[in-house]
Amino acid sequence: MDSERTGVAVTAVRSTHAVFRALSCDAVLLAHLRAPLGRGRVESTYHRVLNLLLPDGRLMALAGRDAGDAPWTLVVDTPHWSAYDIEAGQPVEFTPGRIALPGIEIDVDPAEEWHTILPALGDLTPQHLGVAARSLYALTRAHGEFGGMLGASRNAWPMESVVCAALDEGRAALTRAVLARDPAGIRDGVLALLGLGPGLTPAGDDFLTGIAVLSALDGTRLGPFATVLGDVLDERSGRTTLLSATTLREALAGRVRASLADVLCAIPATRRQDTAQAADALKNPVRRALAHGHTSGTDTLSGLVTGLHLEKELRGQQL
Amino acid sequence: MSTTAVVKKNTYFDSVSLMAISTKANGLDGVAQAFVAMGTEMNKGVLGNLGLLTPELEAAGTGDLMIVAETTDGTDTDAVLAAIEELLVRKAPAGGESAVTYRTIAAAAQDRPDANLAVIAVNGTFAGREARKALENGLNVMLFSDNVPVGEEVALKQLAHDKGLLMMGPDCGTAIINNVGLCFANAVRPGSVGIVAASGTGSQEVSVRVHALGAGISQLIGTGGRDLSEEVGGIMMIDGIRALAADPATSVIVLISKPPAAAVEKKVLAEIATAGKPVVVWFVGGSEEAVVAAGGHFATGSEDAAVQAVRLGTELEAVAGELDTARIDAVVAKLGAEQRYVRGLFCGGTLTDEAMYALLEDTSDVWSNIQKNPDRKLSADSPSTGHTFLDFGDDEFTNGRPHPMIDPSLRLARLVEEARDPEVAVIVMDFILGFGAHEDPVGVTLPAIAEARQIAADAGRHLEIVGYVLGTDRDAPVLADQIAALEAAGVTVTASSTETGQYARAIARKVTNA
Amino acid sequence: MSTTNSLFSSDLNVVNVGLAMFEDDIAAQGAEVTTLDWTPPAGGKPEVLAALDALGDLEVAQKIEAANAEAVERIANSQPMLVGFGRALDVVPGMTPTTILHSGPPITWDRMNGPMQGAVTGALVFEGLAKDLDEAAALAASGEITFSPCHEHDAVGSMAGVTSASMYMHIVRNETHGNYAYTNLSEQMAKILRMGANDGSVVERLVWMRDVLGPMLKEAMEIGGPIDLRLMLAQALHMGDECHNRNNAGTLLLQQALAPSLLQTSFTTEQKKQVFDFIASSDYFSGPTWMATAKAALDAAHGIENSTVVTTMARNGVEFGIRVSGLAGNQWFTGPAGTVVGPMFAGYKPEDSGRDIGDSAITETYGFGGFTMSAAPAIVALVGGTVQEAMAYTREMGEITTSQNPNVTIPALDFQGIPTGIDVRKVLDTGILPIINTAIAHKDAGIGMIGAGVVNPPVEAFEKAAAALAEVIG
Repeated sequence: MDSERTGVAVTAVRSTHAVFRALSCDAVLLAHLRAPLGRGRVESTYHRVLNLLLPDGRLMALAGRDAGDAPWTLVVDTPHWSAYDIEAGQPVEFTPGRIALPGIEIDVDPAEEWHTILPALGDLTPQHLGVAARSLYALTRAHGEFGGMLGASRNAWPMESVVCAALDEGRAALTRAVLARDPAGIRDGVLALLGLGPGLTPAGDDFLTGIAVLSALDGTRLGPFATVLGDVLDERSGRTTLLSATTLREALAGRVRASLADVLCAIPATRRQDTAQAADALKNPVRRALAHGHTSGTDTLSGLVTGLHLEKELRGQQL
Repeated sequence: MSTTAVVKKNTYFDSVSLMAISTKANGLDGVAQAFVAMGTEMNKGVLGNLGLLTPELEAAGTGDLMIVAETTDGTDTDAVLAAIEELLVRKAPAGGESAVTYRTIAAAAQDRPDANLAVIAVNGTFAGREARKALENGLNVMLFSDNVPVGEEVALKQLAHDKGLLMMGPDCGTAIINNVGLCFANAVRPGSVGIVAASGTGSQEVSVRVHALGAGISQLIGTGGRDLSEEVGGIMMIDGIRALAADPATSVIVLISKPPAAAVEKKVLAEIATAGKPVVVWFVGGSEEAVVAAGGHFATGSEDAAVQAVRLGTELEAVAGELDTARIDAVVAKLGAEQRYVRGLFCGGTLTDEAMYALLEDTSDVWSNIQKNPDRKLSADSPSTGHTFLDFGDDEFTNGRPHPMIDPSLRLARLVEEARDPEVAVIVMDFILGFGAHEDPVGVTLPAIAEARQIAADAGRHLEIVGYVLGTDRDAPVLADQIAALEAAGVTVTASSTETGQYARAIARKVTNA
Repeated sequence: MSTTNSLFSSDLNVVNVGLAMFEDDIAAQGAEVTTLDWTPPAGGKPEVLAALDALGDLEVAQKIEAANAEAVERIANSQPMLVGFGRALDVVPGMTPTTILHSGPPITWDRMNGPMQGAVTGALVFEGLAKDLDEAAALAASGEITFSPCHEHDAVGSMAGVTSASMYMHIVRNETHGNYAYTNLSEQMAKILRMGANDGSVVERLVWMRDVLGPMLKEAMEIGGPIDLRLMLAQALHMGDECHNRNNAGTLLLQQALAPSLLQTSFTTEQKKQVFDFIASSDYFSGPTWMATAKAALDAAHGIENSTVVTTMARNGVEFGIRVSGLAGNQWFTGPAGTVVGPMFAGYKPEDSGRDIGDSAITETYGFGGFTMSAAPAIVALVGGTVQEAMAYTREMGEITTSQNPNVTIPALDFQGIPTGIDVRKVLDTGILPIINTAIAHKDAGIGMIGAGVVNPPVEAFEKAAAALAEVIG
């Protein structure tokens, strides 16, 4: 506004500054943020999440208080970021215990450390794995979103049908290869899925994340899959988005967002239950996990279902 | 068939609304199908297999969002692109049928679990009842209606207090909640200044001034005009202060009201100590002592309140405007000896007050329909006398008709009438823009302004008309256009409610002494 | 203030009441907003508002909620079974040889409309109490005949509802709560006693029904055993009936259930063929059956202290009356019977219509009929309107009812249960009146059915009930 007309002289020293308190933080990230890092930039912005590129090229998330804990995520006491006009590409200063963006500053120090807590798979019988897989599948199908790994939604347009068919083929190829212990086949299966599908995190990546986190648990038989996926991510990093690649690498290291970890942790307690009882016990964590993204939650849980089936089959083969 | 594509670098949208876009885009005229996905090799491969990979899509990186629409031949692809862009900025729909309407608050609240606030503008006989239903269904309330018995108001506010809900009103015309202006409000920048106000136009003015200073509003909670009365006891203002004190997005709190009942003032000011944030208090015509003693920052007027809030709550440097004395001298020189009085014709109650109190600094001879001094009280149908300030938004004028912010007819007639009075030196008017207000308040007044000036000119007088436009550059109509139209009509335009009062006072002082 | 601060951290979602102009402003700023289709509650009448407010008092409302929950629970869990047929004199409580039952709230001979007087005189001739219609009219006016509402005798009657001692009745037992409900047999054709027709052919048919149809049905039930009517009602709704004006599927289902037993009865083949032909002559055959089904369930919910649920809606051609659960016994609240609006048979005009008549609104009181038009899109041709309107009717009735009956569902609405338990308070709060599908009888005696359509009860009945409830509960 024209200052002569308003009769008011305005001198902006610098733009309004809001300071936010961090609530919780991935312990690995927290260790990074307490060291001097330098200048990074805003990678992308969403209503509840800002993705920031650290000076070393890694990706971290500044999440609003309802977004939930996850690897490389700092949860901050704000409902959302929409009010602060943050744009991709803007500089971010990382000083020990502090992150400064244009107009806002995050006080990292109050953050509680968050660790992914995951169960071991070794104690689970093949039968229990089967029950867990079936009940998870029933819940995912009942409450999940179509359009990704669950198949095309009703009256889908040709493009969605084509993508869903490709996702289905990728899953089939990967499953066959894992059961055949065929590394070259596993590689083809991973490549058939990586970066494929609609939405901000491609559905194929979410699916692989579900298997990847199982492959990181103690007692897993999915080691060969983990090795191949890790190699593919190293060699072909451009196949998918930075966010997806980061999520997959973390899952291989046994680190996933809290809502997904909660589903895994609920599984051991369903021992000796039938499918219906297990579905009842898993219902609440599953519904929270499904609420992630549009089809993302559904696709990740679809990966868990496939992973659990594979674990069960691989155990059976060894017995 | 042809392919239309948009590539968005680093997107701004949540995945849920993105997927809604692909559904919506499928429903656009001429769009056969649409697809929203990241620009990965695999996704581009799928598009390639379908023969839809344009060079632009080919060039999309893995981090870019692709929106692809296949359109039927002869479709205006620019229009489709524009429509998709529009979908991108629009919020995702809640889903389900769109045309469902409800008869009762209970039915709406039950069916829409995310509903969190009811705006109630029904006849006062039913208003309290509807407000109660809203509160019982867990909704915060903005009660626009007036004529709600005070006993009912107290009961509603007590219920809201017990439930931890906002009960704004009755007779609450202005609020801004989560950056959404409700009823009469202006489009202002989001920011960190929080306002709790018993005065509608007063809070509109402060919010507009805060915006003009480059800062913004976190929440504007209207309490209703009677909240600080003895009977109601400031329930809503106290709850409002506490809510803003607990709100991390609010850095400074501004309280606006006419001077409260003494006991209530004490209770309200006692909240300042525990707010943990600076509190600016503008009690129109109130005294500084109590405010300062309570640890508050006393504001002398609307502009002062805004300036202090911006200084205390943001890192902006804010300075109040200064009165242009040369301009005043030039005007006074044009006036005849007989022309001695100021006549204020206002829509906004607090704007009337602020201008009237400015004159009252110098003389007690100020008449008004909202005068507290019974000796100087003027009824709506009496002719003006001496300095007169009329609030056309007062119940006495509105009785049965819409607020003058919507229906200006009474004020237009009065403007012409005042122009005939040879003792009138200046006519002061306000023009209020924003949500809920008349779509062109200046335009609708221009013919009456021309007529008034003609009447004076025919009688050989200069009639000074001063106009203040309350609004922002984000309002519709745009502030600058309204100001330009007034200036083109020979109206002197002031920059704030405070300046309007000072301007009127300065002229009054000169013509009375002349 | 935790709730307020959660408001600040949520997206604003507004319910707008009163001024539509605020909706555009709010929507333009990106917030969700829905504007109510608001009218002053209780039509703005102060005394009715006072009654509603008394019933809305927090403590009172809690008592009412609990009572209403019990009422709808009793309606929904009722399992009415068809257990037999029998003569009214033998089965209906309080029936005597000189008693005539009629539909709707109580009414005296001189106030009855044309169709009901026609039916009464026809019935008196049929019973042999008068030798012709003139003598019958004199007898009716003499005070020797006891007139009483069907509803006050555990019974319901279609249209004029005229029921005399030797007519055969459905016997329906509520397995859950043990009470019984009765209703007459369908006379099928258009020119029938319940529509006010009363010439020789009408009486002749009644005689056949008494001597052949009734006894044969009675014997068949003794052979075949009870029939679960709630289950059959639910099936009929799934097959496209609303079971008030459209009974195509319900009649087939009932006939299917009865046929084997009918064949085994001791009657002649000729008589059996007559019965099958009679059933086949009109889809309405099962109409009364569903009325008795509803009556059995609703009587089980009548007389629950503090309940504002409507247990009866019935019309006598002059007045529309309702009864409410919390006002036990035979307390009727009435207003003038309305005019039915809808398509008419060729040759008749709206001014020929008699006013709304019959106990069949018991079906809407239970939650089907007009409330369930969404289950019966084919009905819209009969009552006028569009399929979309039919869907909207059910949604709207949801706003004035207490809950849904999970045992009787509507496929087209994702198997939503039918709207159950009309709440007097909600009717007045919303200004939405129950919607009733019904037939139109000619206003003069002796002619019969001339069309079908929809009608609403008079709001006065609900206003009076609210005042009485406020006095008892509030």
